[in-house]
Amino acid sequence: MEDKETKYARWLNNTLSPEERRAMEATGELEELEAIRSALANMKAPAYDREQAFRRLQAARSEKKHTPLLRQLRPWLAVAAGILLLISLGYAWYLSGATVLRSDPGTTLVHTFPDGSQVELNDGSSLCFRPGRWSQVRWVRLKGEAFFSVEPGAAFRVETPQGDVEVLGTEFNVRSRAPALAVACYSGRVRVVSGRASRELQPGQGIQVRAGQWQTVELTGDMPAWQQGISRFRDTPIAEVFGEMERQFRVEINLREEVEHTLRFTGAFGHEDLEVALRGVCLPLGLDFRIEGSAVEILQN
Amino acid sequence: MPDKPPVDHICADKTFREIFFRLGDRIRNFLYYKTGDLSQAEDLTQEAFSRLWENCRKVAPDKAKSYLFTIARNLFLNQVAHRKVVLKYREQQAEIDRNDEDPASLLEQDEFRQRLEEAIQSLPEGQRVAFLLNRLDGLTYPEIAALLGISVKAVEKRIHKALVALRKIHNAE
Repeated sequence: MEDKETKYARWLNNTLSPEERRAMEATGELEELEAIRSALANMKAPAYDREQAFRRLQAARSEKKHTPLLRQLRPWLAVAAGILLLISLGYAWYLSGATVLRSDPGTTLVHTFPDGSQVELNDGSSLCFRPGRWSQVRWVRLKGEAFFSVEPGAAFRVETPQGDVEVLGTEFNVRSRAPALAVACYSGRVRVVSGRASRELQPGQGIQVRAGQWQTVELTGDMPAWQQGISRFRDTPIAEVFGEMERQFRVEINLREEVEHTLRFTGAFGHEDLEVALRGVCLPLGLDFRIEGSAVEILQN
Repeated sequence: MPDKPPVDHICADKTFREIFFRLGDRIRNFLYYKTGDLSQAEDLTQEAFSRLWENCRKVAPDKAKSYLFTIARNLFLNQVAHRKVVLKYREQQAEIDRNDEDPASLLEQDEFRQRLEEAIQSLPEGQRVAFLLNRLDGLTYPEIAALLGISVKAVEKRIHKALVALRKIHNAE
């Protein structure tokens, strides 16, 4: 096979005819090509991390949820699906007929339970309960703040992340705004349970639980201040006070670094005018504020 | 329930893994010689194997190789803007060679290698791929011909032309 167009290729795989080979030796081509061949013998492409590439491939593969993979996993999938079904059935039963009430920031919401008991949710709060089983279990789960007016009957129970409140017929306010729980009893009797401790409240008594510390509060008036459009505080950390203000006025309040976070506030602010409310809280604490749109900055005076 | 895949079916995890470990770096190198871009070559390799997986029922295991190369070629064609080819080859045994040689010839050798690399980089893509598959991956001409979908004669021509071009580095001194 004599072909000038493939000569070097045939030299490379040792299929040259003897004549061709001799001719190439004579011209010195062979020596030059040999140098190229031996230099290339020491070269190779960069290493390929196949283990890592395969893992990547498998990750991409499992995302695609290919049927053959499903088929291999089928026995396990069946078990997993069964368990999942049981869990969701249980959860569905548990939640069956559960109702969730939610009050948007800046608004309150009144709801009457099947037995005539009433709840008024303060703004930015939510309440979960099961009306279908109301005659057996008067149980609600509260996040935020609410005023309850409970008709006499079976135990009425309010669960909050910070503790539980149990009552017979009564009127009481529960304020569960992290980190504190505050309960005010307006009539009847209320038991507050938080952690291992519990206290009973008489009408006109209030209590605050903050980080395991209990503090009794004398109530002013016969209904919570927020129902009258006022937020009232007693020796409360300013972060909680401004937190309430944020909810009421739907603003974002930031404390400058120089502001002492340990400051506490006793007093009240109305829900009518942000500037008035800010002035009422800041002035006695020696603070100042700046309003820019819906952002408020609190600074040292 | 439709027919169960045979044990050596590509859809079987074990078979798929075996195929990847046998052909993965070959596909990667092929794409690397084509593009000169390592990460692009590896991405396209992933893509090619994903396609194989998606079609694992339609492709017989002994056709996996040509299927992968076809996909790899097509994927490469789809990459409209590929970068300027820059190849860098890791040197094997470089340390061992160096110990018993004098500095002057070492320097010469380095220069020679550098010129060779540059010459390889400036080869036309078809020649470079055929040449490097043969030299660095040890594929025979018929194997390369099958992979590239061209005749053995065409492979020989490409490799011949590549060597003609590479030989010129001897005269550039």
